[in-house]
Amino acid sequence: MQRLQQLVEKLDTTSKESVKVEALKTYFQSVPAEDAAWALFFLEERKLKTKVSLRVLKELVNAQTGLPVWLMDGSNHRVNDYPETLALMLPWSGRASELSLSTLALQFIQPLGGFSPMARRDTIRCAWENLNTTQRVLFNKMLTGGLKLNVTRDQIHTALAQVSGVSKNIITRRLAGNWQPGASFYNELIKPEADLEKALNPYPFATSKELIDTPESLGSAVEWFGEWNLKGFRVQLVRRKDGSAIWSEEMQPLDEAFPELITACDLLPTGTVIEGIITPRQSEDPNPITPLNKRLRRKKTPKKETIPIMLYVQDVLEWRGTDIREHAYSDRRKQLNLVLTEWEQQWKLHGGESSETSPNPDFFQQEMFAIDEVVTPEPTTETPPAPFQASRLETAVDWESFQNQLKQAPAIPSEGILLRQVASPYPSDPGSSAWWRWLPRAHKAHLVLAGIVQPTPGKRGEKQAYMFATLEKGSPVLVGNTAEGMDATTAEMLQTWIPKNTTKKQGPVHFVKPEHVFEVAFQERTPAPRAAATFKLENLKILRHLPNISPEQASQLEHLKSLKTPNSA
Amino acid sequence: MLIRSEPSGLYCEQGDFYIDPSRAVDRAVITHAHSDHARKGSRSYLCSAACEPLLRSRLGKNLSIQAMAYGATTLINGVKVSLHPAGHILGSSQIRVEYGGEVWVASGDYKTNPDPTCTPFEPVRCDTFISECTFGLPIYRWPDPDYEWQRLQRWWQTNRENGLTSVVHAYSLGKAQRVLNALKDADAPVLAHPAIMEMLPAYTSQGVEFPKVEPADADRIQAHKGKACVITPSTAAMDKALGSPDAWEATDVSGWMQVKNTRRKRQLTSGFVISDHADWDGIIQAIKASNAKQVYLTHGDGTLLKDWLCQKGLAASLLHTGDGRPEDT
Repeated sequence: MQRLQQLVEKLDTTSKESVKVEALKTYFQSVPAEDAAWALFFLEERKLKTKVSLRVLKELVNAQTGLPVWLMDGSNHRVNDYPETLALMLPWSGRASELSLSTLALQFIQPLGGFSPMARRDTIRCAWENLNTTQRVLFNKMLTGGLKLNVTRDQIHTALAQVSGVSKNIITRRLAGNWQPGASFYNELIKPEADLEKALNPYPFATSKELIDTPESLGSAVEWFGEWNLKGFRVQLVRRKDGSAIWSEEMQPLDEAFPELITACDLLPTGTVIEGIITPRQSEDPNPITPLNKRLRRKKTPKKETIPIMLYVQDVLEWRGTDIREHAYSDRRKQLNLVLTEWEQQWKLHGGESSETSPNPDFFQQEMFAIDEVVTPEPTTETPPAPFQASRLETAVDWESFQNQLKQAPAIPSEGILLRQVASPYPSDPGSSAWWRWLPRAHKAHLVLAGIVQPTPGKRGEKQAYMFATLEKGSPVLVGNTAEGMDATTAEMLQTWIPKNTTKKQGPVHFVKPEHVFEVAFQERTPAPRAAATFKLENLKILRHLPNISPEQASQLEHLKSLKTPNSA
Repeated sequence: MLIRSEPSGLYCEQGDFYIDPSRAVDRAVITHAHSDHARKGSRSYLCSAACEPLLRSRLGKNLSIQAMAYGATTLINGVKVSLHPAGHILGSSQIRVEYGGEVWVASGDYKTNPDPTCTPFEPVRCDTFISECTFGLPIYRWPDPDYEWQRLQRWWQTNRENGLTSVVHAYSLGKAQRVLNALKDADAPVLAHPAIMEMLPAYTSQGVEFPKVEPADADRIQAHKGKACVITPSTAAMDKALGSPDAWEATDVSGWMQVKNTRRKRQLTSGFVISDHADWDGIIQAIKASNAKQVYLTHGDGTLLKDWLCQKGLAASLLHTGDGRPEDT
């Protein structure tokens, strides 16, 4: 425990990453494999099944010191960390503990679940006697399941990589999933890389930048492919000889969370790497990440999948063992269609559902279908539905057409459009990306000015925001607000008009008579259950004042509700 | 009540004197020379012999001071007053006040832990004990000072290995001298803020040992860069002299360092638990040894301690004294 205490003190007393990694390295190199494994277990914030309640610890401290629980509670206000509070309330000890971490874990923590309450108390008391005050804090935290150290997984894996000579990705991979701490596990962890493991590494993920200017700044629309920037987990699937792997953008292996994708990936020919987004197939949650995170946290896969997912494949980076990232995107997409066609045949052969009812992934044939026809496959309960599908690409002759196509939103939650140049390679250097994220305001409406929100005094750059509404039976129902786009003349006119026509003030919010109508562009509509309108419009921009339109002629609530925008149901 | 609390501090009406008044009064009896207890402007002062030079240094050379040895008594308007060691800092006293058969003791700031830089605390029996309770929570149980001093030495050593100057925050009177005394066998340069240096002669005249201490100025800090240990009341006081924060590492030596949350709030990555105040056990011990029937708690949030003492059958209550935040901990 001495060396773990020193490691924890070192981690707590520095903010420099290099010092932390060095401290971890020193630790791993100086302790036996058994202790290293247990330290790793706690550093990775794994939890033991035996969780001892704070109540038990409080009773023990009370028995030992005579101090009542109300005094412990009162003291904890200062400390804000109960395991620490309890350790501090015991008489101070500075002894050099003989107990190794693995002995402590194996004899004093792990078996507690099987002990009688009395034996449990005796064991804990005995551990306290053998530890100094700082170590008692750590021990109490291990017992109550909350040892959080000032170190990131990335730093731990970097240290292990440096200690063992194994690449960090492989260390991450080896540490994923459930494992039991022990000398044999640790020795396996630091073993040199097998060729197979090296082979399963992904390519570096390319990144995109947010398009602040108008798309016209990118040149002609013809040179660009657009596809929905789907919300979900961005992954690469790697298929090599005798193995498949799924990697998230953060380089986390996701094999255990999405076994159906591994099964599907096994059907690809060896030497294939594809990239795409995983999203839930059907979800009531407007945020698709929530059900996906549930899958990550799941310990066991249920027999009948409760959170079905789909991988929208966007790119192929390697084909039959050749790195094809240098090829133009248009060529890679052609290749992708061939890959998926072949794969589908394999899938049918192996008892998967045919994807004849899904949209044709071949973008050349896109024009054959009406733009607003988006069909999603119905999942069956008998055979697992095909989890791969090519993502839908948009092309257009000019940016305005692009905008129009965007009005026909797919049923899959997304955040704007991802623009990639038709002739571009897959950027091998993540910093040199030529991909753009575009959040276009594809929809317009005539909205009534309902009020203003004063900017916070003293906050630089904050502008006055205008609140917009529709009229329902003569009263305004708020739908959104923005500070963007008001031209100077109208703004000036309003500055004099507003104070004379304010109906109510609520702090910085001033409601005005609903008289002025504006043409407002917006990106999307998101559900807002607590708002009177039950939705709110996002990313608004005022286009122009419409002095000849009366508030009664403005857009109706029902019309707004019916619009299909990227993230609305 | 022989001693009562007034806005200006503890007041003995019978004797017409204040204990540690917060404003200028006719007669002030001073427990110790910290600025939240000893303030200038009073017409006459009474303090312990060891406290006198510190008081003159802080408040003015020409003060009217009556200095008394510990245990000696004097009469003030018929009230018998004596001073007894409090063990807080050099010259610190508990004030014993006796009149009409009633004995009250105001502890001032005190500690019961050993400290080679001042006379150790002596319990004084009384009817009513006014005790400080800065650290009146059971989470404050001090480590063995030697354990902490060794940790501090190791911390200094590690900083030297990493080429960083060590900066130790310690109050200029009491704590700083204690730190210096603990580093008396140092084999690397020790520098101290002028306010600390000023207090050293009073200590050395009482036989307290220090290493060779140089004043901490920009030139000396630069000359001993990466090696020296600089003792200062605060980093802000030495801002320019210390230079770029990348070149030094700071720490606090204080009872508050016991709790990780506090260290984090002060944006410190290390801390050493050495205090000049009594810990939970020390306060309880002192109260018990005083044999007092009535206890007043002051100088700290004593709510929980008061409830605990009442539960134990003692008449305890909170006493709010004057203003001013504690100078030290």
